[in-house]
Amino acid sequence: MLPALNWTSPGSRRAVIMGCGQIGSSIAGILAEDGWSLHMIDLDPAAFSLLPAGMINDGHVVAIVGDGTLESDLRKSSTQDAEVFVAVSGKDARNALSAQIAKHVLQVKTVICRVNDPASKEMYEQFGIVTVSATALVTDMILRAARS
Amino acid sequence: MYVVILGAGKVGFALACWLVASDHEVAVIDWDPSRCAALEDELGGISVVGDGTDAGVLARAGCNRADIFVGASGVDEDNLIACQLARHRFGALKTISLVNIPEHEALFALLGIDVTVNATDMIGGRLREELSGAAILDLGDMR
Repeated sequence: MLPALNWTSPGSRRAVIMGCGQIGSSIAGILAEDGWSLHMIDLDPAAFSLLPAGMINDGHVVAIVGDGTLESDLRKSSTQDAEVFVAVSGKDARNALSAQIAKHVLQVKTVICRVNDPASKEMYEQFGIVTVSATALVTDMILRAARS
Repeated sequence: MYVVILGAGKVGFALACWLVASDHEVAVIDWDPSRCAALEDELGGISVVGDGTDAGVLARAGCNRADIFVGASGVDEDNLIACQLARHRFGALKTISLVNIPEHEALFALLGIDVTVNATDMIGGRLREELSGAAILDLGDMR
């Protein structure tokens, strides 16, 4: 079994992000600027090209090609040592499975998951997972603008 | 009994046929309309086309009155989420799930799925029995 990855900046806050799409890469950019140490996991090596230039070379982000729905790949990404786990791949069900592994198996303190279906949100919150629904947020903002 | 099944592939199709023949009520959910059509050719109007991990689709399939929910798709995360929604949001009494990736079996049990069916390990176990008389190869090493 491969040893878990070391975090690049000892003493910094540590997060693992599953899914290097628009949202994942955007979050990574902001957290890295704030001095966080980040491990990002994605099935597709090409996804990491969305990261701001230099983030991997500068050591702000360690990119791991792997499957965030497998406990073994999450352990290889040192998820068990992360303070925050963010599941933001393109598929809600993968995010929800990944988040539950992080929360209930790897005992990560703060687990955040993107799930678009607002009706599922309540269930995941009961599981102790912070859930963000893009649909709910966008709908809310549009309605506020329309009604103002 | 009223059983809702996620997945109108080979496993879901066969389960639905058996349940109907045994006089139980069934609904089958699949995102693929042609799989649902093939099922309906055989068993009549018992399918719902849609994403079984969406609460609205599960509602349309009548999950609120399901006794048993079965995750029989080839995608573990879909089976898990559908089973969890069926139990926690719709009150299904029992959840049963196919587990396609052996590593997920213990996890699904931990997360509250009542019965998990790990086809890979079942076949591996049978193979091991069949081969036990011949030169010994530990199938655990093959993973």
